[in-house]
Amino acid sequence: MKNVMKTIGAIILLTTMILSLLTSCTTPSETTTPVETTTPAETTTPTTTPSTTPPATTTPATTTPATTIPTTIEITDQADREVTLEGIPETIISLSPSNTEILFALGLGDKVVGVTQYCNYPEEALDKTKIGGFSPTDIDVSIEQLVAMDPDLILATETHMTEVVPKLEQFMPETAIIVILTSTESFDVVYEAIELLGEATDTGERAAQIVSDMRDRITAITNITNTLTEAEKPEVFYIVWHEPIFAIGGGTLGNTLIAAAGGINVFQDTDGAPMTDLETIIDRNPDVILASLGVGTGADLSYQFVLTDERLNGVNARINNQVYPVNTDLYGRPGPRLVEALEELATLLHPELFP
Amino acid sequence: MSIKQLGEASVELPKGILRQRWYVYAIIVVLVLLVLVLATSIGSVSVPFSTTFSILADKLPFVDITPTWSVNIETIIFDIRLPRVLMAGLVGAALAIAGATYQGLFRNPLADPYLIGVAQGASLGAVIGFLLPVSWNLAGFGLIPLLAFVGALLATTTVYLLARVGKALPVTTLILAGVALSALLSSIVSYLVISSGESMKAIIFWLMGSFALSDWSEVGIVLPYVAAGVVVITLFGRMLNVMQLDEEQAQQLGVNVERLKIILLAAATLITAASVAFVGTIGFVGIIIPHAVRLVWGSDHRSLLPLSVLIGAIFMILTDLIARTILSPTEIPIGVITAICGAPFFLYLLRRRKKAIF
Amino acid sequence: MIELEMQKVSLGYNHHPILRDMNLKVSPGELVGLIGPNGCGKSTLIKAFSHIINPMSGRILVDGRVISVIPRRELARLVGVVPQIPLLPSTFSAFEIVLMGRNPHLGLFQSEGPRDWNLALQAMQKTATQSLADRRVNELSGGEIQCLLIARALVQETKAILLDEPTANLDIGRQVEILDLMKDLCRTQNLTVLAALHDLNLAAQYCDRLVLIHDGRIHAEGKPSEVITNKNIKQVYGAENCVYTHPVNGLPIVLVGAARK
Repeated sequence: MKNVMKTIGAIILLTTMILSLLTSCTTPSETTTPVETTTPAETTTPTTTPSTTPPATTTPATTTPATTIPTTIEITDQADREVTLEGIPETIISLSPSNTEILFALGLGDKVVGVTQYCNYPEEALDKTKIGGFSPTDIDVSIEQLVAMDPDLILATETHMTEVVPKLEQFMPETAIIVILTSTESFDVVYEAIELLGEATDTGERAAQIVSDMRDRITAITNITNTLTEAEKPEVFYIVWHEPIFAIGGGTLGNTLIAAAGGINVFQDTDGAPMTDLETIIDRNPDVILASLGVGTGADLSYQFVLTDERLNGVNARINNQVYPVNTDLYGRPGPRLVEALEELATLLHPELFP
Repeated sequence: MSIKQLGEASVELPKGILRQRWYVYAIIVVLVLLVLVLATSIGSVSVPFSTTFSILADKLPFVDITPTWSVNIETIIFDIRLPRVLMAGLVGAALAIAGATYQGLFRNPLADPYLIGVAQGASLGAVIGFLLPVSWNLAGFGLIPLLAFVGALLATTTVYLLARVGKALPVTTLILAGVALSALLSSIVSYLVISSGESMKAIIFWLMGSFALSDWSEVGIVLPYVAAGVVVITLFGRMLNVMQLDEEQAQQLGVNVERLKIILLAAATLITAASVAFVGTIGFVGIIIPHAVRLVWGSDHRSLLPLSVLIGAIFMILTDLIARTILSPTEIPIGVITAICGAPFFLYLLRRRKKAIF
Repeated sequence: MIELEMQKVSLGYNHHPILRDMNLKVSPGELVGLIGPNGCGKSTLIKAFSHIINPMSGRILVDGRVISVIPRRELARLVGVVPQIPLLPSTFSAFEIVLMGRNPHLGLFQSEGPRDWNLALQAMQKTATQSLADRRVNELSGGEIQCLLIARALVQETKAILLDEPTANLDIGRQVEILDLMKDLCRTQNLTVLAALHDLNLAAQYCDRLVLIHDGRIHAEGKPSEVITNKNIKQVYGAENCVYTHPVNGLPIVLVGAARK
């Protein structure tokens, strides 16, 4: 009997261990797929004449339409690093979802050989080789894999600056590494990024097109929302997570979107993603609540929370049924789709102005 | 009769069934109520004290006050703060009495309610709950508290089965098994936390313990467990005294030692598990409060247990108040505050040797 | 009035018998002494009679009932034990420790009342420990603690008392007092008393019967003059020519030093 009991105890133990191991396998963890050496590592530059065209400098608003194929491109990236590209990059790896979107928007989908596991737009990105993660706490990138794949160009972000970029510079001196800012609140920085990438990849025309399209559509909206008075702007609460409650604060893309769409972020007085509590939300009484979808594995839990929790019954947003789910990818990525986010948000906040 | 002369010595005879004068309890109960009202009046949104008082008074039966406050303020006071404060009181009481029970059963001043695996079992259950790709709500009982509760019970059952020898439950083996299992589970939890990706912040927040998520439904679930557990444990106060002799003597004095161990362990574990399942693991309370009570009122379990309940409740309500107001509206994890209070207290205990409390 | 009995009992730990084939009876009004060399199993015997350990074979009867079916609380009202000096917590006063002897008589909800307090005070007076009432155990000497434990057993109001070396740390005055007390209880209240004693002289003077244990078995049993003989002492203890006769009451006394000239 004693032995039976001990066996049962041991079985419970083992089951727990197995269960937890299995669970960890369902979490997004690094998938290390075997390295495919499809594209040759060297770029094939057609000419060998030393570069005659003057190195292009970067000024935010201007790009020179390329008529000849330059052999060397020199740019300053968004981390103020001087980067030299020997010819047009044929193989590109992106270390962040927003950069992936920009690349595909520039028509460079075929040249993209590696993306992060979170790069889910456009659909073609899902088929690309995964080289690591990208979320605020998981900038785990497989350096080995990158070295093995040896692309012409790697797009990194400022979060990679401390560890990943120095290693890449050390192990891959031939590869160009461009750093794009992803924690930004300004549309201008996004435009600059697109143009920068257009220049680096000789798709300057396309880049200019995208940027001007974005500008137009955004201005179309802000022209109207800038004329609104304070009273006409609904107060918005944008919730990211509910246990504990995190809101989108000032200095973020979300905040800029809200302002541009003619709303006032109730938490704009605090930068970043401040933690807050129910009391404060009820006290600030937002007219509209936006809830992030697609954060972690509890995909719509925060939305369910703000939609159904009884204690929020007295809040304006609930009384007037103005609780909306929003796609985090859309609203949080500094890329071409920001426009869609803004248009959607403008309609939500001011349906009468933007049907 | 309270002091009796016996030759040259005088013996202070115990006063009644709860071993302290009645007014000691009365005063402390009043204190609990005061602290309750105080904590309900303070929060990240400032509400005038008189308003809070009126709102609470209005909720009492036979009292009717015409509202001068908005519905939202009432929601804040009654639906957000009050359940939170009550939960803090419940959990503080539960952890304190569980700690006192463990210390009495194991005859060890360092025993705390997490000794035989409750904390790590609950943490593992909760982390698994966070990582599962399902969201679930069964009559207000979320997935995570359920898994945490189950995890806690499974862990302690495993420890119990591992430590049992025939019909007996040797105390040293129990402690060793508990420590070993806790270490194992803790490493699994760490691994899962590291690989949790985006959920990491939320998981860590849960693990550090917080009352931020407490609402009336949670209070409704925890209350019966804690109440039942407290009642059962306090019934055995005198027996716990006798247990302070070694097990052999206790048996010779008529205590069914093995049965007592199982009953008390089960009760203490249950109330700890119920608390941890909803608020995460909050340390120090289970160790410190019983010792503090002993320092002032002695080690007789008949007073130690009920007083631990009351003092534990006061302590937890106050620390929660500090945790949520110092950096309002950001919350400091409550485990940090209890540790800050706890560590100096331990040092103080070390230095004060006038009265042997253990 | 109850009888303690062992029928063909063997006792041991971990399947290793220390005592075999014990047949023993202690009747009401009797003070029976257990004697034997160190480690012969006297404490084990006492643990068996208080149901701390189970017999490996045979039956132990208390008041005619098999000990294993008697609920603990009831057993504690029948049999009281004075253990060899155990650990006692310093968090309780001497008085409170003695009071713990009332535990078997109190219900779950009950607390001690005036009757219990009086019993405890009386017991402490009988054992001359009343002046220690408010002291903590860690301040007391071994002898004082021993007297406290005896007081506790008295407070338990049992029909039988088992004592494990109760006089080991006491001065001669206290030894006499305690054994006089035990003897008196046997006579006046018909208690059944079994005491493990290391002092052969005290055993001879006070016990109605002696049980000499050697090599896991009962070597001799009977009146003191029948058990404490030169032959037995030599066989069991290895000491020669020690037994004499008390000049006043004719009981055997054991004296060393005769071999030295």
